[in-house]
Amino acid sequence: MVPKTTPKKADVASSASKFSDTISASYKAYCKQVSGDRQLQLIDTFCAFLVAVGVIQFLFVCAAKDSFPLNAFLAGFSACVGQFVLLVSLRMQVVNSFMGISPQRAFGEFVLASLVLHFLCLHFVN
Amino acid sequence: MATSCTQKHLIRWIQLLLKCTIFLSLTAAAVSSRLFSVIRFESIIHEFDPWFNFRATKYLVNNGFYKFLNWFDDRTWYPLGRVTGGTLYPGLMATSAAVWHGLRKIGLPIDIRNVCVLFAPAFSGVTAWATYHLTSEIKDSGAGLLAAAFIAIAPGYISRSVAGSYDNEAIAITLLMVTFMFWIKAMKTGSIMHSTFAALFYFYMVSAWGGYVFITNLIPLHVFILILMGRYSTRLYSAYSTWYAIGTLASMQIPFVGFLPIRSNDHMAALGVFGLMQVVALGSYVKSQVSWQKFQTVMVVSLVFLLALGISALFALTYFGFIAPWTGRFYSLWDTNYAKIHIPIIASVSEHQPTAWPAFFFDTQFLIWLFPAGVFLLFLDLKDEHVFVIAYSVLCSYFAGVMVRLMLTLTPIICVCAAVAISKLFDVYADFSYFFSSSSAEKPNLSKRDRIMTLVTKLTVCGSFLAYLVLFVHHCTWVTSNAYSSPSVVLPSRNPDGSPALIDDFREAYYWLRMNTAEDAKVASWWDYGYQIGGMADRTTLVDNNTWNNTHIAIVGKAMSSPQEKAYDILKAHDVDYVLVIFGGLIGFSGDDINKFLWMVRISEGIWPDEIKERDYFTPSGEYRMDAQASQTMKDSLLYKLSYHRFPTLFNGVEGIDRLRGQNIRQVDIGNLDYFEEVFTSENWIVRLYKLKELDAMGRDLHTKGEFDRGSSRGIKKRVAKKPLLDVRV
Amino acid sequence: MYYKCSSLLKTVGEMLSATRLAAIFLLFLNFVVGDLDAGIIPKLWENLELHRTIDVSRSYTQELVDIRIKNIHDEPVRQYYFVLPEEVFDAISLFSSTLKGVDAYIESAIMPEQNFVANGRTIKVGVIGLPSPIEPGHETSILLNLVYNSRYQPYPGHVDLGEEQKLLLRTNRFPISAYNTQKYTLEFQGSSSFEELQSFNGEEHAGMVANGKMVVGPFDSIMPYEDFSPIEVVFEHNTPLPRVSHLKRDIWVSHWASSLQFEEYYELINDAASLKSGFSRADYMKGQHALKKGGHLTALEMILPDSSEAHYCTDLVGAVSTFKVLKDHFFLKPRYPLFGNWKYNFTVGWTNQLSQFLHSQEDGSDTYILSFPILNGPADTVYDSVSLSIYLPEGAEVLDVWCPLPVQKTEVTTEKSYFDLNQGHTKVNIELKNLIDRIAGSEAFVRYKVTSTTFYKKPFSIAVSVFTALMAYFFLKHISLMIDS
Repeated sequence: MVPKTTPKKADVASSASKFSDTISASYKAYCKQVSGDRQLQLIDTFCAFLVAVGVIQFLFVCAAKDSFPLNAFLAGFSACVGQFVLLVSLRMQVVNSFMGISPQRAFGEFVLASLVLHFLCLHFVN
Repeated sequence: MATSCTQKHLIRWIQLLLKCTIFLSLTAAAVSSRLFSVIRFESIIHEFDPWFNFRATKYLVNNGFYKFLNWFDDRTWYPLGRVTGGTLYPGLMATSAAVWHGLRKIGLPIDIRNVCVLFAPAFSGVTAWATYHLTSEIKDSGAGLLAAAFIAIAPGYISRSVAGSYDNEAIAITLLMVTFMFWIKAMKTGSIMHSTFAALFYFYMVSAWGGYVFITNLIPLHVFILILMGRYSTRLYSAYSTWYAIGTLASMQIPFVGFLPIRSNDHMAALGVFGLMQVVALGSYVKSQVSWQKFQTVMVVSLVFLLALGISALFALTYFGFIAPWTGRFYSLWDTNYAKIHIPIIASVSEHQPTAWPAFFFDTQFLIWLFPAGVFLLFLDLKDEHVFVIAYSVLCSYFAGVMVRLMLTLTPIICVCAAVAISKLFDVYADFSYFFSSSSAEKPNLSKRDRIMTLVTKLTVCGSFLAYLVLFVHHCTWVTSNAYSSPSVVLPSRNPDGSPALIDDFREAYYWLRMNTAEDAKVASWWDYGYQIGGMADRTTLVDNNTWNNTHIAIVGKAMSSPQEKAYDILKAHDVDYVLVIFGGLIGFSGDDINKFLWMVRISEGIWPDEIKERDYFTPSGEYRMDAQASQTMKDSLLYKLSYHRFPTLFNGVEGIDRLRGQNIRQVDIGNLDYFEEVFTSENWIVRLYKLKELDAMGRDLHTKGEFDRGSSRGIKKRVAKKPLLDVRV
Repeated sequence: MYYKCSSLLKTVGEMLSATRLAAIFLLFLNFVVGDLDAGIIPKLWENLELHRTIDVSRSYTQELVDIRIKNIHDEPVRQYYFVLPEEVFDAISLFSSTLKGVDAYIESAIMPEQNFVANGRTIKVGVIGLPSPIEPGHETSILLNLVYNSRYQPYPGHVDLGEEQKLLLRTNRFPISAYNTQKYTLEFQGSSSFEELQSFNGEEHAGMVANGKMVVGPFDSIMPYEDFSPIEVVFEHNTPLPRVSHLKRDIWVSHWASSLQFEEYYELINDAASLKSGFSRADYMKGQHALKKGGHLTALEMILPDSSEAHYCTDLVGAVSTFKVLKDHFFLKPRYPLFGNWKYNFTVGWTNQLSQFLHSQEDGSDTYILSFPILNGPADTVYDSVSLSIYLPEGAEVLDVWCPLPVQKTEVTTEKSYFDLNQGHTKVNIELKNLIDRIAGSEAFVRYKVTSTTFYKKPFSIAVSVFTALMAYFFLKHISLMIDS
């Protein structure tokens, strides 16, 4: 009799290998997409920077055990999150522009939204 | 060819001209149908809540925006005061003040009262324009024009936006439509600019109305349904993420909202969908790179993991108190009996009662049966924007069924769906181009009989729907004129000779209060009239329509339900000078305090269940009566005495007839009023004002003093010397 | 100087003399500051007979002083000085005099700036200029007419509903004069019952009541400033005492619409006896007190200029519907009956044709003269202070302002109104005090200049603004916000 555990183990092993395969395949595809395209590199660096800044702010709050003044923390954190999201939206349009929106218009909208976002953050920081 | 080019140009010009004319007449219809009460009575602020908004706007205009945001109002909720700057939605007042300033700059110094009264009709035109654009995105401009026409005159919307109804809904519905219009545009194109505008108008909406939570939950719900349907696209990601990031940040700028978007359960859905959106974006990117087989396992594992993480995080945060649990108002939407048991104040408001079936027809006439037809037709198409309309319709239909007040949020989507339905109908049946096409190539061979039958069918259907539309306009105008145009501060009536007269008792009494009492006099009344007393009589009140402090309202309720002596002590402890009571027994005014008395009892019973018992105020057989059969607790209560004081004098001195309740009130039941003194009663006895008597100079309690005064007025009794019983004669 | 006494100019003449003489004497005494001793007034006359009649039938006091005077100086004298106690002076509305028997006014004025002190009391002095000087040893008779608001006190201060109202008048028993008085009587009239509160020194100087009048005296040989002791008289006066503490009267002149728009804001208070306990509507309705006479005010009647239209009446809480207009009589029923010390503020407005009030100077210099009535208020009312504003068209130039009554202050400013895109309407503001309803017929005049350029400037500036706005919209539409191309 084939023990019942072994098919499970095989399943788990195969799913684990599938998982790692997927990750490596996506990473390779990502590197291929980014290499050679200065715009994408710039956007991705900026995103990474924002993530780092956001994580630092969050860790600071955890270390200080106090989030007072909460509005300042939220303003800083929202600036990171908001700008990240806007950058990802712009990246999507750079890779594959949306119907009816030219790349220049996409960039212009991105600038407008970023200005609004930072104005709100400045107001919120107080 | 040149001719067809010029023909096309001509057609476009005619279309443009028609559109402009239609829009102008729509705006004219929207504005003019809201002006019934201004023409019949005068330009006055209606009802109760608008008086507070008007007072806040006057404060803003007189003192500037900074002082307004930091306003601490010590003339309401005496002695607590109210941090008004941080507990109101400033959008409405800020807009009115901006309009007022703008008009002054162009040389039209219009009085702030007129700006406030005519505010809602002015913005109804903007609502029609926004609904036109929204429906054009859903279907086409033909449907858009129909939707704009419907929303311009639909009674469901007019009920809260007549001239004089200066309430948050006046601007909120406009902003709702504009926000949705931008959201649909953003979602269709993925444009970051439209998303930003949607977020900014969402911010404006948050500043204007507490019902913004509806948008906060509807847009994420729409996105969630689209994701579940597998319609994720980068456009959707761009639209929603931009809207959420900028919108939430902007909404936290309003002092009243503060940190609610990250603290309250109402807003967690939006945050959850935002997180989900990031995950789905990542997942979709990964999916595009690897095969479906491999991706499936990854997807399942990560989904399960994220779901568990999300739900446990939500529960943990709620348990530890970081996130506020659902509020009472939200519970009452799902369990209609919740409010009656736990929060009597919410249950006592007439607007919070469940909707009766006729109300749907009354507010929308034939649109109500076109509404499901429109939703079904959108189901057949099922593009992304149609999912939004369907989600909005289903969600709002449930809520409108639960609370009458939410009928207002259902009306716009009824108009949109009905417009879609009629537009589709007219697309087929109003298409007479077949009969006007000249070239034979376009005309397929049809027998003459078929042609005539088609023509007859088309004419019949078009004719009948045109008749429906005419009836709709007729109904809307009739409903607006008869049901929704009453200022409720003045009541129309007839003189004995048939000429129109006005019952102006409220303003008579409030003006008397304003002119003839001290500036810092404190007035105690039931919370219904608090805003009006603050707005018209300009006096300090104890409780008002904001109802933020249930215990304080219960104190006033207890004072009204207790006997004279107890009520005097309670009111004296709160520095009250005057007590205001509404009494409708002489002319049959049904909104008086005796009819609301049971709510006073219930609310105070909620705080002092051992002192006030609702059962005591009914007759032994369980009836609510005021005449000889009333219970002794009822007859002793302060409200009974204050309402009926000196009432039988108008009749024969022994018994008076209460016209409203149809009962005979006896003078012996009313008794004497020792602790309060009547200072003013209005012409038809609707408003009665009493003053707390001063403490006796000789230190007697006021009841003894009253007894002595009555005894001495009857004449000094002669002291009779009695012979001793003991007879010592032997 | 005599003035023609037509009924129209009668009241004008009463006060016209005041302005001229006051100016002359002010110039003369201009450099004198501080209180002077009353002894400074030269004793050139002797009052042979002084008869003082006080009429209390209205809510203000009307006093008629009949003096037969004799020149005891050795030269002809023209001026006679008449003394007023300070309380009377502060509340005085009219001060005029005639020669007895001659129906013509003679010059009379009060010196408002100068205080005198006599017997420890502050007094003010009025001067009467006789038409021709009286020779030494000769006599003449003058009649002085004083109207002032002596603020009757309700006596008792609190009454029940329906109780008859009695008022207390306090005035000086003896004449306060700069000269010796040989014979003096004081008479009260105008009420159905008079009663003196405290008799002076027993029965000797008590008043006698007969025929609806009370006569005190006659007294002989009274020295100047001898006795300031008061007499207190209680009389029955069962009607309300309406007093307007402040009236803001706006008159808007529009040449384009050829209309004159009036708007008045009254701050009315009833000075009658207050109610003892609170107001009981049950007793009021049962006893039908709305129709009975009493100290409560149920309706106001105002007489408006001829053929006025577009009447309205509003409050601070909204429109008042209980008013009626019958042939230039405006009847207003306030929201609630005004009992003692109850206040009521309201606004009344109407429109008239401009041609009724405006006259143009025919010499083609675009100068106009606007004559407007000073008051149109309710009867039997006293006004503590009146602020009269005339709004002339934008760009008008004020040349002259003339008011027959003594004016506290006149100023010319601007005020912006609808479509005033330049400097605003020219506003002429006149402040008056202590007016009574008797002078309601008198008129004031404003002379101003409006050229045709100013006349057409208004629609032109509106058109230019609209044009600029449309042009701006047009140009903004054409600005392209596109980044590419």
